[in-house]
Amino acid sequence: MLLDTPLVINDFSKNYRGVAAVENLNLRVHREEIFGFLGPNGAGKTTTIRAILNFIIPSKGSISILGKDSVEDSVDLKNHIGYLPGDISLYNAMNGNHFLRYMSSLGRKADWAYVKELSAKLEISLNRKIGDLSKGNKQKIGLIQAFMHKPNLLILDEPTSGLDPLMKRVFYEIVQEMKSLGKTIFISSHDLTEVQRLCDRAGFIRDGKLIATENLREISNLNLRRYTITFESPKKVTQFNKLKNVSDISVDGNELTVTISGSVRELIDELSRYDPTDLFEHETSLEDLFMRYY
Amino acid sequence: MRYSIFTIYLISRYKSILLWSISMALLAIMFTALYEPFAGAVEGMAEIAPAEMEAIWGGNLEYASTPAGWLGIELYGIFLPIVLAIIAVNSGSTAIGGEEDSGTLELLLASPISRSRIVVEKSLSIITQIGLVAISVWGGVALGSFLFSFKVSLLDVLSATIMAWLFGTSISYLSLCVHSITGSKGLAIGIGSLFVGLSYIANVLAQLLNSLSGLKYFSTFYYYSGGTVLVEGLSTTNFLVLAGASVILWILSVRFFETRDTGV
Repeated sequence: MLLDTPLVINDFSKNYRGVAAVENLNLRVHREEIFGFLGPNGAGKTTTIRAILNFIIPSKGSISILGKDSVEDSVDLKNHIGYLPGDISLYNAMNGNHFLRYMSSLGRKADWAYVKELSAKLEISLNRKIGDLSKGNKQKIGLIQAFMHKPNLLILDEPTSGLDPLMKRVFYEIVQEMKSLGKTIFISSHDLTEVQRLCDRAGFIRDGKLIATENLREISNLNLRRYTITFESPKKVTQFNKLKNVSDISVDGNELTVTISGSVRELIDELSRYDPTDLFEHETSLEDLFMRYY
Repeated sequence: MRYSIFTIYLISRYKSILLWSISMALLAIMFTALYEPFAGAVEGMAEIAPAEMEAIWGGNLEYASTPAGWLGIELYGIFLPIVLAIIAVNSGSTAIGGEEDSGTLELLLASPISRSRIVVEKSLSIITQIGLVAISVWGGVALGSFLFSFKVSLLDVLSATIMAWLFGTSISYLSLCVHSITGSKGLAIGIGSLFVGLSYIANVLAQLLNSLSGLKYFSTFYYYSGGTVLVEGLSTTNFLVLAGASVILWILSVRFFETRDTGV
C-alpha cells in the first residue's frame, strides 16, 4: 500500500448540469509529502476532495489512491484514508467519546492510546456533549476522528478553521509527526500563510483548473508581501523601481506602496535613506497571488 | 453499547417514537374500554349511514357492533394508517436526508462501509420505528381486551397490525427512494405526503363511484384495508402487494443511492 505516489488524479473533470466545476485536473501527490491545495472559494477544491472520497462520481478521468481506483475500491480505501470535512458537522447529541466509538464501529481501527494523546495535545475533553462545544472544539474532535486510525493518506479540508493560534501550532506538529511516520497529507486551504508554513508542495486551482504546482521549499516568489510606507515628504516611483524583488510600485503623496517577493534587505536599506515614519504590511490574499503570478 | 447506523438512527428518534407508541397504546385501550357503552348505539349503523361514511372511515359498518368491526372503524380503518403514514414519511425522508442536510453523511461515507450498508441499516431502523408504534397498538388492544369485556381475536388484530406496519413500510420506502434519487429531503417529504393523500382519495372515490373503481388498485389504503382484515382475516394478495412494493422501493433506494452524487 505504501506507494511512492499514494494519490494520483488523472484528467479529472466534474460537471454539474453541463457546467464544469473542475476541468482536466492532473495531480500527483508523493508519499511523506504535505501537499497544499490552494484556491479561492468556488475554485473546485472541495469538488476535487469529494471526488477523491467518492462522494461524487467523476464526469471524466480517474483518481487512484494507494494504487486503487477511488470508485471501484472505495470501501477498502477508506480504511487507509483519514478525512476532515470543511465546516464539519458532528452528532450533537453524542459526547466526543461516543462519537469516536461510533466512527470506529464503522470500520476504522482506532488507536485509542493515540486518541488519548491527541485529545491531550489538543486540550479537548471527550466527555462533553458535542452540541455544547465551540466551533474550535468541534474542529478538534473532527481532527481526532481523521487521525485516530493513523491512515496512510489524510485529506484535510480547511483543517485549522476555528482553531486559535496556539492550537494551530499543535496541529502543525501533529501533521509533521504523521509525515515522519511515512503518511501523506493533502490539505485544502485558502490560507496562503498556513500552506507556506506547513506544506512541501502546493497546487493552485482557479475556476476549476489546476494552474500551477509549486515546490514551496524551492521557490521564494510565493513569499509575497505588500507594504505601504509613509515618509515625511512625497517621493517618486523612480527612486524605488530599480530595486530587486520589488514590483507594483505606486506613490500617493507621502505614501509609497510596493509588493515584494523574497528578501526585504535591499528595500529596507533604500528606505532608511528617506526617513520613513510608518510601515504597514497588507494581508496578502490568495487572489492577489493569483492575479500577480498566475 | 453497540454503535451502529441502525441504533444511532433509532436512538435519534426514540423520543418521538416512544411518545407516538404510548399515545397509540392509550388510544387502543380507550377504544376497547368505550366499546361496551357504545356498542348498542352503533348497532344498525350500516342501514342508516351513507356509503360515503364507510368509504371515508375505512371500516366496515356492517360489523360496527362487533369488537372487531368497532376497532376497524375507530382505530384501524383510518386513524392508525394516517398516524403511521406521518411517521413513515418523516422517517423515510430523514433517514439519509437528515444526515445529508446536516453534513454528517460525509462522515459515514468516509468510513469503510458500502453505501448499500447505510441504506440497509437505515431502512431496518425505519421499519423498526414503524413496527414499534404499530405493535404498541396491538399491545393496547391486548391489554384492553384483558381489562375490559372486549372479545376480539388478537391474532386478527395482529394481522391487521402487520398490514398497518407494511402499509407504513411501503410509504417510508417511497420517501427513502425519492430521497435516494433526488437527494432532496423536501421533495421526499412532499412526494411521500402527496402519495398518501392521493392514495386515500383514490380509495374513497373507487368505493363511491363505480366508474372509478379501478383507482383502488393504485391505492395503498386499498391493499392495507385494516378494518376488513380484522373481520375477514389477512388477504395474502394484499400482503404480497404491499411487501412487494416495499421490496421494489427498497431495491431502487439502494441502487440510486449507490450511484448518486451526495451533498450537491
